[in-house]
Amino acid sequence: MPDVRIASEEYLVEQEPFYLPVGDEVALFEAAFAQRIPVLLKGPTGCGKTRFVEYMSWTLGRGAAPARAFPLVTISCHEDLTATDLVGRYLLSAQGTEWLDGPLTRAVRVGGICYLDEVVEARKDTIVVIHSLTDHRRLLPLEKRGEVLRAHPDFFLVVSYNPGYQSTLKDLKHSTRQRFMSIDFDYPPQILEQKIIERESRVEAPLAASLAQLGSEVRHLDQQNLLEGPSTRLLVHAGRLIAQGIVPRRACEVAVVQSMTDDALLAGGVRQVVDAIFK
Amino acid sequence: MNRYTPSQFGSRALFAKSPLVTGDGDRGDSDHRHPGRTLESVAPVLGLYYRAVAGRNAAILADGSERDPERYPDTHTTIRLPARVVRFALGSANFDWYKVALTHRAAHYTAGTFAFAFDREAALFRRLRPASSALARSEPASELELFFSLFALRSLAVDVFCVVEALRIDEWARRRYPGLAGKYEAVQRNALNERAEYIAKRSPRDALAEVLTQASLGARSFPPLPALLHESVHRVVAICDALAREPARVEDSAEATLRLYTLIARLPNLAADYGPPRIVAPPFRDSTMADAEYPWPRAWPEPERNRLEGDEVMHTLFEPVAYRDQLGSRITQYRPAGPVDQQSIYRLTDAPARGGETQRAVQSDGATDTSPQPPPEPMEHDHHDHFAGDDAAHEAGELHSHERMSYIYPEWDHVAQRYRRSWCRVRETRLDTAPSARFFDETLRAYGSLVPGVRRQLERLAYEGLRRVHRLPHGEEIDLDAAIESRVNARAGLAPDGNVYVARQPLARDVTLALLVDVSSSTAEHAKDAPPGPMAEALAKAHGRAYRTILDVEKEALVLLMAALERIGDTYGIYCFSGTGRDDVKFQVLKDLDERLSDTVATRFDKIRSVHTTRMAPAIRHAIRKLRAHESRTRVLVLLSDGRPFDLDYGQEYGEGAELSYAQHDTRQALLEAVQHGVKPFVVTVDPHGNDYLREMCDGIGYEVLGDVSELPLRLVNLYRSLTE
Repeated sequence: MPDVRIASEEYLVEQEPFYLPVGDEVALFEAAFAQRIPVLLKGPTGCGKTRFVEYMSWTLGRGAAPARAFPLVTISCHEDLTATDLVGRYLLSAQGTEWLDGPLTRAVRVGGICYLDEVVEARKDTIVVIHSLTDHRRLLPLEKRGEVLRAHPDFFLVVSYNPGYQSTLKDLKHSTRQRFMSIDFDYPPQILEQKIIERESRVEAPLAASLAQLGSEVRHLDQQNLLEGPSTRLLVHAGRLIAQGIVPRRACEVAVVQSMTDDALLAGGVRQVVDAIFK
Repeated sequence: MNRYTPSQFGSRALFAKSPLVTGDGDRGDSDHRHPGRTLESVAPVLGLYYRAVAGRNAAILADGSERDPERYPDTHTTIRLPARVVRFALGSANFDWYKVALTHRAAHYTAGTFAFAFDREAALFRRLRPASSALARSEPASELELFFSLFALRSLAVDVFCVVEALRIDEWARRRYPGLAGKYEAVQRNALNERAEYIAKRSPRDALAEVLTQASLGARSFPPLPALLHESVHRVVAICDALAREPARVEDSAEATLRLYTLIARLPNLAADYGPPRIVAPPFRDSTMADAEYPWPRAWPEPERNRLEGDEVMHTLFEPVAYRDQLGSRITQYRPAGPVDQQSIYRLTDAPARGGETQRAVQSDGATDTSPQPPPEPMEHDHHDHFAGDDAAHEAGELHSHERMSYIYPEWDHVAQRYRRSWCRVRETRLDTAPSARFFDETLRAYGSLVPGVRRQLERLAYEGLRRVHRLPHGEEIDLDAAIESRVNARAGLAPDGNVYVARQPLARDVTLALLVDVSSSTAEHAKDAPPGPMAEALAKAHGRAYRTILDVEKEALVLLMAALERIGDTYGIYCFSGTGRDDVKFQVLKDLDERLSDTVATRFDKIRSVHTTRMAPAIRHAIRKLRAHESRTRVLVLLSDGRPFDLDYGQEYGEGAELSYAQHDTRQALLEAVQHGVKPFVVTVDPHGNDYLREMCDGIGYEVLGDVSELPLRLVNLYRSLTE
């Protein structure tokens, strides 16, 4: 069995990920990369932000000289993430202490995309460490070592977050968000979403069309925050279950209805739409 | 104004949780006992369904009787359906009837009935309509109005168009929703069965109209008819077949209307003997009948007709199909009711409308843009800036504030699912002072023996609660993480951090309370007297009369709470509110957040009066604004009321009874805004029927219903304690 361990800064997107551009996001991202302007991706869950980052990592890697790898370092942010977790810390060892780079430091050293997923989940004081990386300085201070690390010329910071209802209380500091170019993501238009479902779940075109229709109709309920989604990801899940031989209504029930809400009434409303669309 | 018995549906929130609804109505749970379905039981779940498939929201209201020819037609924002359906033996089939009826209504929007464009070509019919430029257009009319102006018998044309368009969108919906196809069939078969006797003995016009309606429901065999009608019947069926095909769009329905109108209008309109009836011979396969070279009239608008005998007196009868709706006022661009809109002002003044785009949006829809817009963020509750640059976006009816201490707030329109900008004016005033603080002092005296206990309860609260604090320079035990880190740093040659202890520290209280008190006129009602005894006597003295009102008890509760709050030092404000319409919501300050409880404040109690109605939401929004100005770890908003929110001009354009549910939704939205701004809202009501509406209004928000108003004073203190713990 091949060794499946990969150092986080050595992870490369080797195969072209399937990504269907919705607007001008690819050109914008490339322009931002050329100018090293950090990128903020906003959008609901499951609309393709992470896939887009993988795709761009692959695209930029392909453009890079063959000798130069273009890694993708992903950091999922959470409430307990500290600046130390990002930058690095000293550890005790038999010989004394040993410095261990955090994932951000590793990415800064080798270049490539560093992707902070769901950045609002991290505490605001944690995120402040990226400030000096995201302006003209492109430096990462390693306070504990008394060092300043100059970022690799290819180092590129991308962050994402979901400006949904539940995070109205959490928001990025203005001093943080005004360092980024922001690309607003939303669910793809029905016709593109159909293609994505078809491709990702390998169902027939009419079925993919029905799933895309389900998605766009149920999303009418997301105003006033009754519901969020369904995400393209959920629709793809439903498609995959159908491709495995599950009947469509049942597949939508388990992959879409139940995954969206626990509220019996809302589930009932969504289920009525499912029952209308699928025989 | 409170204590309204909920009207049948007015108070039933469309999407409210209701224990009556299981969410899978079509799984026929209780079929054996209750085969029928009531609208009330299906409206919540089907309301969601409608909103999903139509991409818009509407209030679903009960209709007295589906047979009532005078029944209100639907509007863009209201749907009327029978209160109960008992057409089928199975309850689930009756549920399906409602579902099909709503799918039909949704299809008007998604299949584009109101997107009719006069100059767009039909997909399946040759064009008989002239170009719109050839028509005299005296005033801005919707495209559909323009179309109907082609006909001398306008109402006949409208009726024909309704039927053919219903056929087209039904077929469209059946293709779009394969899961509904079987249900559609059952509903249409049921509709046809009812109409079996409708054709016989009618005048030729009425008979052909009925043939058209039945053909639109899928009938392909008809009772015997006079020979006079046979060719027309073939043509009707052929046209219906064409409209059922996929490419048909609303312009096809219009072209079909021109043809069918011609067929019907040239028939005599009197019942007489037109020869022996014979069966119309099938087959109806000849698709060329639809648009074959036939001398359809080409001169439109139709010249003044030589009226056939009976034209004036006898309207051609189109019996309605129960599950289908009527277009009603929606073919015009007029709004159903409510405030005068910008467009009608332009119409009246004959001035050109600003910007072609607004015009289009109104024409295609009539009320709002068809594409669902996410509701705007609740606006900053700032003093309204009337110098804002986007005049064009202003809606008719928006208010402006030019006075000091008057504030403008938006209002939530739950039917349209959006905020109405600048919709309510809150006037903040300070209650007048009285010569003495008699009421305050005497109430404290009356509750005298209880006051120390109440205070102690809250005092205990003030010192309760300890918190573990990490990384302290000294404390009770060692903070392991910090200690290890410190050691590591020391070894690495860095300055070690000495903050390595954990301690329990008393929690400093940091609470701000805004208490909103409903002083609407219903609080003048009598409340139960205090149990006889010295306390009752003392209270009677405080109130200056032998009985006490709900407001009196509210005031007693305030005094007691204030006395207790003073002891623990929380910041608090007390505000009385009432209103007379959206431009005058009164917000009276008894004690503001940064005011001290001075003698002056205490005298204000004597000046509280019961007046007007209960418009809660603007008062809540104003209180949020006040709380937001105070940095506090815990911010609490308590709303003390004696009944449901109500005001006279709440959501009036959505029909009678709409104001109750409208008010509830607006209030709920205001409470949710509080949560969004980090304020903890809580509703206390002394209305014994409070559970009926608070369950929906305060879903996810704390509330308490007091059956007995005299419990309020002590209960309020307890509640406050549990709220801020």
